[in-house]
Amino acid sequence: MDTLKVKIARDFTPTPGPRYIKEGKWSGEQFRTEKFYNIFNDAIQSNKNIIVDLDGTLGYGTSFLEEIFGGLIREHHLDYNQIVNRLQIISTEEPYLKDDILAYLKDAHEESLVVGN
Amino acid sequence: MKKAWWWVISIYSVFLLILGILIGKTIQRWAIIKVKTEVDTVGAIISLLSLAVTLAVAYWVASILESKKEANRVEKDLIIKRIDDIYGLIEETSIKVAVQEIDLILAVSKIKRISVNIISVIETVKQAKITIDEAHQSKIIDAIGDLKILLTNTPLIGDEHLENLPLEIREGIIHMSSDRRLQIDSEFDKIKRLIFNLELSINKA
Repeated sequence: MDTLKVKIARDFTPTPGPRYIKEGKWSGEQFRTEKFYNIFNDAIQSNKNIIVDLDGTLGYGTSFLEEIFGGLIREHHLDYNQIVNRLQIISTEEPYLKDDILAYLKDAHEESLVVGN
Repeated sequence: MKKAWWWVISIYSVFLLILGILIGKTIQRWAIIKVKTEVDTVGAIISLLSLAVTLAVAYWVASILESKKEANRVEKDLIIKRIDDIYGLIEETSIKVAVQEIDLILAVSKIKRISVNIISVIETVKQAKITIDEAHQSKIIDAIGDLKILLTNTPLIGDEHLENLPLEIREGIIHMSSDRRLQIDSEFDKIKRLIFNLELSINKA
């Protein structure tokens, strides 16, 4: 299976900011709406895997990561299993971020099920 | 008088002589008490050589153990020095956060530096084969994660109408309530305590 790769430090900014555009520069909302959703959507449509490389930035706020990953389900209604099955995360500098991201995706998925009901 | 004394001594001597002969005869019958009267020169040389080799091996083993202990001590000192640097970084970050307003990117970069350095120390400790409690390592990483949540997790848009938000970000600057600041201070204290305990564990190991 082909793979798409996105490196946040290179493809967006080395200084990720807050959750929302209104909160400041380089927000998660901005990244998700301008780039991240399109990449994931393309990958799902064309049956490709996605590698997200988190290394090389100054660090991530909790809301930034929650917004870009959780927002794919909450705002763009992408399928949780489609995301999780295709997603590969590179985070050698902060390895625990992988677990955090999977938890954000799971929480957003469970929240969407509650809202859906 | 002198003659009588002489008789006593003579009888006593004869008595001792007879007693000695009897004891001697008895001991001779016991097979386990045999006194070797010849000198084994070759055996003595081998024994001496064996003693010398034993002493040399003991000295060699002791010196190897000593040098290993010394190397281990140097490694530990280097690791503890790095932990002291991290401690300083935590102290510096906690002072910046204490003003209740801090640049978001500065805050996340400081937290990343703290966690990257801690992870690096834990890796070094593993490579140096110093045994420390795995649960203690996890507690430090978890505490840093909790600090990050307290400092950088802003609410979802649906919650924005809530009054007295504990944390807000305006133009990239974190504004926090007094309660949140106290929670953050407490988390910093917890991390410092865990790191100090890590130092003690490394020193003891």
